[in-house]
Amino acid sequence: MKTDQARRRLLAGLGATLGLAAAGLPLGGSASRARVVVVGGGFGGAAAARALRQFAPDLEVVLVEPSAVFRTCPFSNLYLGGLRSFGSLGHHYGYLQRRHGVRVVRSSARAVDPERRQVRLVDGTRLGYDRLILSPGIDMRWDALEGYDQTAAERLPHAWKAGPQTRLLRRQLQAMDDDGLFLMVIPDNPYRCPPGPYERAAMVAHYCRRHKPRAKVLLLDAKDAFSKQALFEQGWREVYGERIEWVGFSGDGEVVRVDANQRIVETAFGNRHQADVINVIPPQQAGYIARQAGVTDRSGWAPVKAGTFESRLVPDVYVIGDAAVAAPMPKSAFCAHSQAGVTAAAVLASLAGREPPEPAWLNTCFSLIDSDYAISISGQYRLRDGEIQEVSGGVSPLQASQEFRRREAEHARDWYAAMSHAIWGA
Amino acid sequence: MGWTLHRLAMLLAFLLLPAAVVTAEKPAWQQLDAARDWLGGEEPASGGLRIELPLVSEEGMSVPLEIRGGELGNSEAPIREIRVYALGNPDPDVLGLRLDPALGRADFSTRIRLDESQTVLVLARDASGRFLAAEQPVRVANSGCLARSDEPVDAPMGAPRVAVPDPFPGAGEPGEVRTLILHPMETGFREGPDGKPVARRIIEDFSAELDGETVLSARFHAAVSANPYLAFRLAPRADGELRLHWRDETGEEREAYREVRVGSGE
Ligand SMILES: Cc1cc2nc3c(=O)[nH]c(=O)nc-3n(C[C@H](O)[C@H](O)[C@H](O)COP(=O)(O)OP(=O)(O)OC[C@H]3O[C@@H](n4cnc5c(N)ncnc54)[C@H](O)[C@@H]3O)c2cc1C
Repeated sequence: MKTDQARRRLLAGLGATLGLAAAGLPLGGSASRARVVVVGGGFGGAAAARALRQFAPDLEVVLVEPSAVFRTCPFSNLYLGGLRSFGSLGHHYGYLQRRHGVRVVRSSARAVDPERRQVRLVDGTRLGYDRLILSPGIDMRWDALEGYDQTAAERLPHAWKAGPQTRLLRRQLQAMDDDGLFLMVIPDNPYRCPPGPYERAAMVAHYCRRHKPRAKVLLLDAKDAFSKQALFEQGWREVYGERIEWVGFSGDGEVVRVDANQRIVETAFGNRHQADVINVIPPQQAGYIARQAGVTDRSGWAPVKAGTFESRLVPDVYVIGDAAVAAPMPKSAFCAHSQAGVTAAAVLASLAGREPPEPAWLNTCFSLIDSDYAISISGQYRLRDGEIQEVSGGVSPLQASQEFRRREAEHARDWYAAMSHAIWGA
Repeated sequence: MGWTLHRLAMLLAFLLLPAAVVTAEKPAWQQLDAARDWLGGEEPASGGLRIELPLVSEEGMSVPLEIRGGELGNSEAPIREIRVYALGNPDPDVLGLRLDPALGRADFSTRIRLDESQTVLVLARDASGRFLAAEQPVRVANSGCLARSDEPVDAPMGAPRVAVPDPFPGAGEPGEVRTLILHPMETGFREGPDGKPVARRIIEDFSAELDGETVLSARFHAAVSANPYLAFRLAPRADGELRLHWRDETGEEREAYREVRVGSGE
């Protein structure tokens, strides 16, 4: 029953974007000839570009994105587990151009000049903007964990941006000995996708159950608690027995040093662990262009005005998705998409010289434990006293039937299909 | 005309600025009786003591706090005592530290509980009796996504963990000592599943002795996170032995010993 509600909420959430934007319409006179540049064609950016064009068909919307194919992090854990092909994670921009008339520029933004309201691309092209939306996702902090730099990541993949890193991790898992140890290093908050590492653990265990029956999965975590913890721990035990072991901060789980050559990690209290495959998820920060544009603070993330996601530091620049400080909203694809709708409406209102509409955001994160076993968490967010607050929410019940878990797994697949269809048309 | 309007706006902003400064909130130490009592009428200086906290915390149960109080050895007036307060907690006391110059530096890391968005204040008193202050507001945006289960932990005090540099970098050069002990640090402010308050039980005292001399003693309050973590510096002049000792409110105690070896300083 509850999942049906969740599903209704979910679909309502995808549609809510449209309802909100109506408040920003219609754009009159010069505003309709304005140009909005969007940097980053991921969940936040591509959704924002689409929403802008849907609500204001005369608006010029330019989307800057270097890749021809966008690979989703959502479901990349399923690829690791063998439940999905790598190809199924890829989405193209043709639909956004043809169907929605978004101008897609295949390049990277190198710099933002807020004075002149220009974005400079790596090839030197300058794009003027009336409003700019940045949704560049994350960058790894290569200086945050001793021994873990870009070279080390070629041996100890992070696979926290979907692409070659994800395939590398999959190959390493496949090449692992039958009784191998798969070790994951997990950072403290905030980071992209709070439940992601724990879903990955389940998917790796899923793969091992069939192909590496004696392998173990060890999670070394810099935190003492994590998202949906009770549900994950129960699911891991029910489905995979003792295969997955989690060690939190107080159990000496914080890794302070890695040795990529020897595949050894060292914890805060001096324990050393050697493993056959090591997946290091390092501390993160907003994508480069956000830092270059001056919208980030010393935390490495971009503080934004809660109602619109306009930068608190640079006017007329909006930051959405993982790069923004949207707490208590987690850094999820669902949130990035929800923020895209609200911010598109706010940008249109600003161009038309109107007050932004009252915002509301939504999140649901599904995590797969097994092919027919998923758990979820949802939250609804509104503006209260000038800050984003969680007004309602819930997680899957701890006591639930197999049928219930199976239906949630189905909803997870529905969500992925609905979301990627809404954004990339496939 | 746009230009004039802009000018006017600038002018207004300028005129309003001093007023804004005057009405700015009082420094944190003025807002807290406990802090004013300790200061005894003194006004703390604002340099010489730095703190690091996240600007936004998604999980108020465990917020990393770093205190940087500078050198102790070569300073004329080294810091002797530090107190940490969380102005918006039901009990604003967080942590008290008494330092011996043998630590080498007044640098600490710990994890604290913040009930809600609030200002954290750290006060220090140096050997000349002068006070220093540092404060920072932290926005606590507890995310349902990260909420912990409310199960009371009835685990007793667990085994301590200690990491010391081996060897220390050189005679009189500070190295970081990390300590952690498993303990629920029940605040007494929280309800169990039966709706009754869970009885308070916290570790109160912690100390570090180098060859029998106390170099650090700490007073923990309920706002020190469960499984108290405290990292400090130690600058031993010669090889020796470090004893660490924890005692909780029920009188239960734990101790740990570590050999201290001093490197050649190369
Ligand atoms: C393993 C894993 C599993 C996950 N599972 C889920 C899930 O099930 N559900 C969920 O909701 N979320 C999930 N997430 C989180 C989700 O992937 C992110 O929250 C989401 O991608 C954030 O969207 P974004 O737009 O901020 O960034 P991204 O989606 O990363 O998009 C950023 C885009 O910007 C582009 N870009 C960066 N810099 C520039 C530049 N200078 N110029 C031009 N383009 C640039 C990049 O090429 C990229 O395409 C998962 C994450 C991981 C790692």
